[in-house]
Amino acid sequence: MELLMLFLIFCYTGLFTIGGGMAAIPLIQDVCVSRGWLTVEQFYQMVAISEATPGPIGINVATFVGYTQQGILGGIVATLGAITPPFIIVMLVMKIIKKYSQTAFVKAMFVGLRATIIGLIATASYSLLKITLVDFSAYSGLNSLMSIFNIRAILIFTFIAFTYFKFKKHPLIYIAMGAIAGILFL
Amino acid sequence: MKKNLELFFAFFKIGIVTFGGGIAMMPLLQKEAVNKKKWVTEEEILDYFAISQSIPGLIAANVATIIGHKVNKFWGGVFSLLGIVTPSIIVITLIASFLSSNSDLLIIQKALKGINIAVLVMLIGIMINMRKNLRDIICVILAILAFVLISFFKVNPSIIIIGSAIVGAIIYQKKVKA
Repeated sequence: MELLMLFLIFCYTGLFTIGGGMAAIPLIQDVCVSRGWLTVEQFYQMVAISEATPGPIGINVATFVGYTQQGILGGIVATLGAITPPFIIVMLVMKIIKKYSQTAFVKAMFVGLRATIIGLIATASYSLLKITLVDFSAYSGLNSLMSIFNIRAILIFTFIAFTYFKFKKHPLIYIAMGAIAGILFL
Repeated sequence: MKKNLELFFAFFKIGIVTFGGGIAMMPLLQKEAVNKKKWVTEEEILDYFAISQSIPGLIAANVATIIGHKVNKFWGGVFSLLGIVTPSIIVITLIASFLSSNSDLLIIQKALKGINIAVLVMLIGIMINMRKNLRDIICVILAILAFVLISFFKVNPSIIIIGSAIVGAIIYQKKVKA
């Protein structure tokens, strides 16, 4: 019964998440806290761990909450709940898009969409820039201008960028490089 | 079945090394699904991210489902989706049961910072590659507008996506071939 409840609750949060994992966080927080499953503090510690571990953050949080409530099975059930409604919707949407994909209307739509997604990649890059290379909150006047730059992080960035654009190896190599450099120098 | 397993393991691999999900998984996805397996093209990946952003669900999970569906219909979608969520289930369950001290978390956070730097480099690489999709000045304006509105005015990305779909449909309908 509890498992079914977990499944349904995460069906609900999955259904109302539009635009990615972070959008789901307030909704899941609301559910967890109002049911007395977790305190706000516990919840945010869990979000921090979910951000720092592999996998989509929304999935990590679902697994986490499920696990705290019902053990391993709870984690699995909560995750399945979070992905089931979107899965059904994706299947329906793909059917529709497939049917109309060769029309001028849909093709034209995707010209605009592709441009916007490039803007979204820029947005993601900018947020990464703000949490890694620069910290605008450290700015407190002209003479502190240098303090907003994280010099070590910028050196790592320069090194990885140089090797990435020169050798174009598998992304995993650069991810590993980043992880090691982070542990050693940051 | 062979194809389904191939999808499962490809997305398992992506899931296990993608931190944060969403656009951060793009560099790996491009390597695995475009360059190595040739399941989809670069442009299609952009389309799938656009679709995934504007419908319910997690972006990474939605993109996996769409690519799986394209390669091998319904079951392709199921296996890809399970592939991308399985690492999370395993890793989080292990962490929830073992992670005891905050110092463990500190090392992970340092590594994550470094990984974020690497992802930033690769996202810049993707933008340079994808610039050919900005076919004229209107596309450039759309991209800049999306960046500015979301980064500095906190507009919901879904609204921007739907808006740009409408703008695209109106402006380019006469220019593309059906």
